[in-house]
Amino acid sequence: MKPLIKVKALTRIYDTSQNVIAGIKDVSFEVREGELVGIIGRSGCGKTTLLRCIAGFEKSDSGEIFLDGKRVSGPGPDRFMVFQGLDQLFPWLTVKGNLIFAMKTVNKDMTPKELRERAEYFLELVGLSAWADRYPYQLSGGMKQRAFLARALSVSPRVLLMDEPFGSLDAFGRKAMQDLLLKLWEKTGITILFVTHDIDECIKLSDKILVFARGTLKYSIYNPLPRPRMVEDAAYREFLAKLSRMVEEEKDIAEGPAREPSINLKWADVILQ
Amino acid sequence: MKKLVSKTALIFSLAVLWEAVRVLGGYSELLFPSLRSIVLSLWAERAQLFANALFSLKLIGLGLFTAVVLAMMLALLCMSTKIFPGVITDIMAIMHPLPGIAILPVAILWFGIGIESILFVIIFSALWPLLNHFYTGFRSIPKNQLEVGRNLGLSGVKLALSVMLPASFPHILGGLRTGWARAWQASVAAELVFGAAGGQGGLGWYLYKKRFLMETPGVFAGMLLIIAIGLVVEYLIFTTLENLTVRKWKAVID
Repeated sequence: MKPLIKVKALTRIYDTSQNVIAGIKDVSFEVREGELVGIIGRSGCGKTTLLRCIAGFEKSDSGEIFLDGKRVSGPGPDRFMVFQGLDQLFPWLTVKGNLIFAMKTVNKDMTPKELRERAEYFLELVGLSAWADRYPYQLSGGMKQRAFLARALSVSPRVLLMDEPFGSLDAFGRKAMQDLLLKLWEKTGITILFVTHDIDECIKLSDKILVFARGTLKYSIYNPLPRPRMVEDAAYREFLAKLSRMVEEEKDIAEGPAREPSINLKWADVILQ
Repeated sequence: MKKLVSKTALIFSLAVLWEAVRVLGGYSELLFPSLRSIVLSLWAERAQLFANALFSLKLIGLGLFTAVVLAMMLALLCMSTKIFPGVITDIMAIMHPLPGIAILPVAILWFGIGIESILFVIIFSALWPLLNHFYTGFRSIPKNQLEVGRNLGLSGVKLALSVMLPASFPHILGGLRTGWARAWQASVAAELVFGAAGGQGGLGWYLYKKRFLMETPGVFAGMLLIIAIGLVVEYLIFTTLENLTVRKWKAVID
């Protein structure tokens, strides 16, 4: 099967203050249609940079990104991003107005009736129907997150990019959003790439996990656990321990990316590349 | 209703204070006219005052509109280029402290004695505060909202109109208020300094004439009208605009 997203030797380095180099270096991977991919690593490992490169907000220094065989060269609604932070809705539009504005901008042929119905459909899907005519300031953090998801799905992107989407929520809200995301993913079959630093979230959600450290892709593994994934299962805890070790491993990787994992993966056996 | 009562009470107490100071101080009618003579003068000259006010408003409207368009274009240029912000910030630092009236002599040299000179002073006076507000507004737009716009495929003028303008509206509204006040000040000051432009004149010219003829109640009548127009514009236009936009979105604190 042809991959939907292909990232080839992507490098994007920038100097931050005190000559600390941040960014990503020589990153390559592929994502198939419909996959739910978790990108995990400690803060400053370049995972957000990667997502912004795919979204087209950042230019790469070298390397290429392909979506459906076409080279990515700037932002576009085929790769819709859910950012960090709760200020992503336009405050001058109602929740429904935000969805309609997005759809109208992307697809100019839709009639007002179609726009309205489609907006209502997606708000229903995320459980926000009762809040459709409210303004963003009237919504709680969790409701805003739902609205971001509804808007992102309403423009029918090929891939949904999420940058630590639920980082600002409490444990309950986070759990609810994770369940909702899984439900939406199963329903729409959309391809999702999400960045997180929460190992549990990564295990619960992803099919495939990309482990980043200091700007390089250290491991690319498939999640061996069947859904639904329960913390109570021994297999879950075993995988959690292994993944934690991979994320926290602090070996010197200055000389190019280490593609072979240094620990023995008993059942996380599909190592890409 | 409660607001209306408090506002009426404020105006009434100011009027009482005025009369009290006048009577207790025993000032001459030429220096400190009674409210009665001011109101009588206002009524007697209503046709003239109306014509002058209309003239001023037309001039200010035209000047303010031009300044808003110019400021908007400059602010957008600042947002879309790398060297422009530095240049404009420097120019603003030079021009902003300069009173509009100070360039009137130059304006007369360049444009002659006519409404063009006054218009130039009005535009100059309103442009810099407008630009300052607009540019500050554009820079304070949440990055996420700009990026959502770009993610949807918007750029250039489309992004400016459908995202940047509403997102920075609290600042734009603030700029319009300041610009309007500056434009008024400039038009009155310019006419006070050098008289009418051509055959017609505005309220500044009215004040100039009345002072020249020592008709003090007329001077105060003209000032009263300027204040009244300011209040009407504030409550009819700016407050309404604010209620329909930034207050509704809770983009400002009540």
